[in-house]
This record gives sequence, structure tokens and C-alpha cells, in this order.
Amino acid sequence: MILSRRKAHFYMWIGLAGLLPIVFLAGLIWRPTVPTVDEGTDELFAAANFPTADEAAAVTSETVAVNGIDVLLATAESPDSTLVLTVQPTRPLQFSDALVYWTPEESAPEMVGAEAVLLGQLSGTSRRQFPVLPEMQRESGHLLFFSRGQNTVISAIPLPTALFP
Amino acid sequence: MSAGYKAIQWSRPKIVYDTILLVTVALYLYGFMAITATISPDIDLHGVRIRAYGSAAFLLLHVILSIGPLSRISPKFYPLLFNRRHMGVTMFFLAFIHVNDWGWLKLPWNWFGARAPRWPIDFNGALTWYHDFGNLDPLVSLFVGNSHYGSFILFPFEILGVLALIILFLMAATSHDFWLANLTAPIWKALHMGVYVAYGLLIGHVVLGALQTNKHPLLTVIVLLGLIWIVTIHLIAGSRELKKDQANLLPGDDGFVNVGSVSEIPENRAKVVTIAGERVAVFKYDGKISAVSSVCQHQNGPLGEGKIIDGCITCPWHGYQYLPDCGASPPPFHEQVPTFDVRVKGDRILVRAIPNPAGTAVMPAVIPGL
Repeated sequence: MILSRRKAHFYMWIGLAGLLPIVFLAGLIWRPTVPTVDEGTDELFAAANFPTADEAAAVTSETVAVNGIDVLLATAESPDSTLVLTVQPTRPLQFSDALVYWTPEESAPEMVGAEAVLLGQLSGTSRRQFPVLPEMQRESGHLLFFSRGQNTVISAIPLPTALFP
Repeated sequence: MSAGYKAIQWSRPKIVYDTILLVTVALYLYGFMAITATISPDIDLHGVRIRAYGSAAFLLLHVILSIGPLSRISPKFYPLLFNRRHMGVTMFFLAFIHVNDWGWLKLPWNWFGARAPRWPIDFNGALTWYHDFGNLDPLVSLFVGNSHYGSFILFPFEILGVLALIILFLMAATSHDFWLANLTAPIWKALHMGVYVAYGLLIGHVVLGALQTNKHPLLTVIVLLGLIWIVTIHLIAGSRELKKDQANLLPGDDGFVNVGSVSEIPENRAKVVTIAGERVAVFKYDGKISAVSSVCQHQNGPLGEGKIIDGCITCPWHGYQYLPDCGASPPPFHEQVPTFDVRVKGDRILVRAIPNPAGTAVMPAVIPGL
């Protein structure tokens, strides 16, 4: 390098040697705590009137495959004796904003139809609980997993009738 | 050299070098994804892939930034300088894929309205995964999604990455010798020193981004060690160069500078001295002494640290060659460096302080008694 570039190089690194450690240390010292979803958030769901069910009140369960990933489906009775459907993927579905619909269609739907009823949203491998509609017990239909973020159907599986004794 | 521009002048060493580079990068990416998926099977794989490419680019930037000062500290590292530009272009593409995935390779299908095939390496880049699922255009979302511009810790770290990527793009786009020759080496070098600014921006990007959400001590320690390493070797190399520059030799009444003795220069090698603020290489070869500017016309490399091969001064950085008595590259090449008048009195070498125009033929000083 020529003299002016050598000087520029040296003084730039003097500046970076002063600035970057300060940025690094300040970034660690003021690092905020970001809350994550854990068992403690169940209280928030309960406070927001989301259906809750006692483990002991479980009725029956089934394992289904959604996009190649095992998902545990179970029905349980909530304290007020209403039936809830619990859905728990064993691994994340790798789709953003995964929503669960129930649709009364006989064949697997390829899109969210007008008759589809939104049950709720999945969150990673958390066990989520959704209300069981009366028609879900009366009629055959499908559970439709839909990514709102990616605007695509993840999978549609027949809702097992064995879940409703 | 300068006989004509080719897109890339491939040679066997370059092919070997690039193969090693690309295989290493591929192994790193595969290893990062496979090991993370094994250790944490529940983790979001999109985020893992984004981090794999981002960390690969960041690590490669550390390697690139290490080569320059290491080669100033020890000539053993000169071979790494030879193809550093391919490393830089690879690093830019890794950073670009970190942001924009492999979608850019599918543009030809889009242009013809066809649906591009799905490849095993497909994933959603950071721009898609974090900004493309809302109501806003992803580029708009990128700049307005986090508006804490007045806060240090909540500052939108993505913007730091964008600024660094722009600098890296300018460097990758002008990495060809065509731009080096047309911009001239000093301007090209100044432009490419922007990598230091990009490094500072990327430290901010990582500290305010990845280190905020991933609090594993190992990641923090690795980033800190990398920072200490890069800053230290640049300061060591820079201060050494500064000391050499401060050892400025002054001319006598006749305009000549006593630069030392003949015996201290090995055969076919040079002694580098600073005269009037610039480096001069004084070469000894075939019983003669010649002096030329120590600044190679290609990338301003240190000619005086090279040696005479096949009768030509050969730059240790990229092998550019100059005839020692006229400072001109042998035909068909046309690079030229300034020459200096030289005298030998007894064992002492005297070099005129004012250089001759580049390419001026100067009679070499004959070493008496040889």
C-alpha cells in the first residue's frame, strides 16, 4: 500500500479498537430478557378464556401424521364438562402461523373453504386445546392445517371418529 | 497481468484453491445444520439455515481480514493473498444467501412464468422468513418493522447488516482486474478498505442481533475472541508499518541518500527503505544494484519483499513482474513503476531521492570487485 493508505488503515483500526469493544460490552450489559412460551403461559391462556382440560379427564387419543410429523390428538373434558380437542405436534411443523381448521368436507380439502371453522393456532410443540364443536362429533370431516404466513395448506387429515366416544 | 482482460484467469493453483474453499464452506454449512438438528431436534430449521449461512460469511470475513496483517507479519502467509479476492466474492454470496436464500437462482424460471423446481438446498432467507408474511412488502418491512432507531440495544440490527452487504457488494462487483486497472490501484484500494467499515457494522449486527436472542456463552466467547484477534493483528501490523515509515531517510547535498551497504542485501533480494515518505526497493542481482518504487502497480503490493525470478522483480502478492533496470513489465505487459538513479561507493549504496518517471531506464550500479 502507499503511505496514505497505510496511515488510513492504522488510524481506522485505532478507531475500531476503541469502538467495537464498547459496542460488544454494551450489547451484553443491556441485553434484554425476551419472554418465551413455557408452562407459565398456560395461566395466560386460562385468563383469556381459552379452553382448559385436566390431564386426568382425558377421554381418548390418537396419533396422526401431518406433513410427515406425528401429531398427538386427544379429547378431554374441561372442568365445566365440555369436550376439548388437544393438538400437540411431536416436532415443529416448520411453517409460520400454523392454524387448525375443522371442515365438514368428505374429501381432503386443498384450500380453506367457506365452511371451514377456525379452531385456533399451533405454537411449536406446545399442547394446544381447542373447543370441540357439536358438528365435529356428529359429522365426518377433516382437520385442516394451514400456514397463514406462507398462505399454503400444510396438510388435511380425516378427524378420527374414535376421539368422540 | 495486463495483456488483456479475461473474466477469470483460471490456473491449476486457483482451481485447487477454489475447490478447497468451496468444499470447506459446503462442509461447514452441512455440519452446522446437521449438528444443530441433532443437538436440538425441536429447533426451527429455517432459523438454523439462516444462521448457518450468516455465520459462514462472518467466519470467512475473519479469515479474509486475517490474511493481510498476517502476511505483513510473516511472508509465510503470502500464498493466501494470492486468491483472497475469490474468498471475498464467496463471502459476499454467503451473506446474500443468508438474506435472500437461493431464490435469485430461480429468476430465469420466473421470467418465463414457469414454476421453478424445488431443490434440497432450498430454504427461506432472513428477508423472506422474517419479513415476507405480513401485509408489507418485505423490503419495506425490513426498514420499518423495527423503528427503535433512537435506542442502542433495540436498534434495528438488520440495517447494520444491510449497510455491510452494500459495501460487500461494491467490493465483490469491483473485484475484477478490469476495475482495478480503470479505477487505479490507490482508489481501488481505498474502496476495498471499506471492508473494515463493513466488519465494524457486522460486529454491531451480530452483537445487537444473534447475541441478543442466543445467550449461549460459547457464542459470546467465539465472537469476542474473533474481535480481539482481528483488532490485535491489524494494530500490530499497522504499528509495524508506521515505524518503518517513520524511519525516513534524508538526502545529502547531492540529492542522494545513503541507504546502506551492499553486503546486507542477499542476492536477488532487496532492501526496502523509506525515502521522502515512500518505500523504495533496492535490489542486488548479477553483480548490480537497481532501485525501483516498492509499490506494485497492480494492487500496490510490496515489490521490495519479492525476489528476482527469471531476471524480473516479482511481486510477492500476485506475481506481477518488472525489469529491475527500467521498472517496466516485460512485453506484452505494460505496467511500469518509477525508477531511481543509483551509485555504489565502496560498500555503500547511494540512491537519488527524486524518482524518475515510471518506466525510465536507469543504468544499474555495478558492484566493484565482483
